[in-house]
Amino acid sequence: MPATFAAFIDPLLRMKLELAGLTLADAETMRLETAQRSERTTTNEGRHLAETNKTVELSEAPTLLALPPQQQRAVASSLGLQGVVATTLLVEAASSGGLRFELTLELRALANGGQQLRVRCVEAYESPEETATILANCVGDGVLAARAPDALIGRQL
Amino acid sequence: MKRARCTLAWLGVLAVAGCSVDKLPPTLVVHHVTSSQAQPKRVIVLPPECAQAWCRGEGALVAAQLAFRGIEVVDFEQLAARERVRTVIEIEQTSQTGTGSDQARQRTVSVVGPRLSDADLWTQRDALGQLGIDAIVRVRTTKLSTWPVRALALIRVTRSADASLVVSSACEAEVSRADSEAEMMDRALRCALAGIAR
Repeated sequence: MPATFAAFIDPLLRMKLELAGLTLADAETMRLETAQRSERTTTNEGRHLAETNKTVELSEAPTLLALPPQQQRAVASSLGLQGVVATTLLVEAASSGGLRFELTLELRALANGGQQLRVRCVEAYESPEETATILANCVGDGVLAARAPDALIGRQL
Repeated sequence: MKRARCTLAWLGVLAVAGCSVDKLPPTLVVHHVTSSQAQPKRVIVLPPECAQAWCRGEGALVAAQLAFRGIEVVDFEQLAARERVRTVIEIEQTSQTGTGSDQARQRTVSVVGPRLSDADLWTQRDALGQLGIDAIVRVRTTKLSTWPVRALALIRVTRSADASLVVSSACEAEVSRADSEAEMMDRALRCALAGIAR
């Protein structure tokens, strides 16, 4: 998914998934190795002047997201996670001449790979921010309608 | 002349009234799970997803509220994952001038080694048990870029042992496009906090 769209879709979608009762573990923040941290504070004092500089360096460490799908599932199972959520954004030319965006969310069980939930929303393209927000909100509300209808929040977009 | 001024003033009032649209009151959804298990006593607040300064402020706001309610908040960013190496280098320079002497001092402190927030996921999971942390708090905020603009905040507390829900509070608030993102999220988050405080 393009980063621009992901930036608008992911936060909203994750929030709605948690509102629907799912506890999420974000694959991109789960480090497989400990990152190395180096902090340096330098203080310079002269007759009339004192200044302090602080720098922090953190090494890159691979995350769960970097693993191939098979290994991702193995690690996720070892942590007691029960499912994998994947989203796909499809863009195609609409018959009216514009662009047609389609966002699909799939929740699959880790144990057998069986599909537990699939929600799909389609929207004509307006702008990255608006189209992504409307699609994410629509798919999120779809998940809520299926799993926790009493938690549907706010007015429909 | 006086009548014309009065008419203009009324037109101005009408224009202002027409442009300012009342915002809907925020919508708050709260789920409290009644359970035989004891209420969490020691928690961690997970780091925010975004890197902006106001995101860190959100976590701090929720942590402060929880601490005020007597819940101990453990900060993984303040705890060393293992022994860290600290090196101090001090350099002092004295130079003679016509009127006396000038002194300059430089002190460099280097600390190398990971904090718990930098640790791998297995180390972090073990630390939860070792530190007696019985719940995890997740704070999420986002903006719905539609008309009118809305800010959405979610605070969710789950047990660290089995990820079961303790309490979840979500709030959607209409906000002004003139507000900064920090102000938008702050409004929604304070509304969600009110749900947790019930």
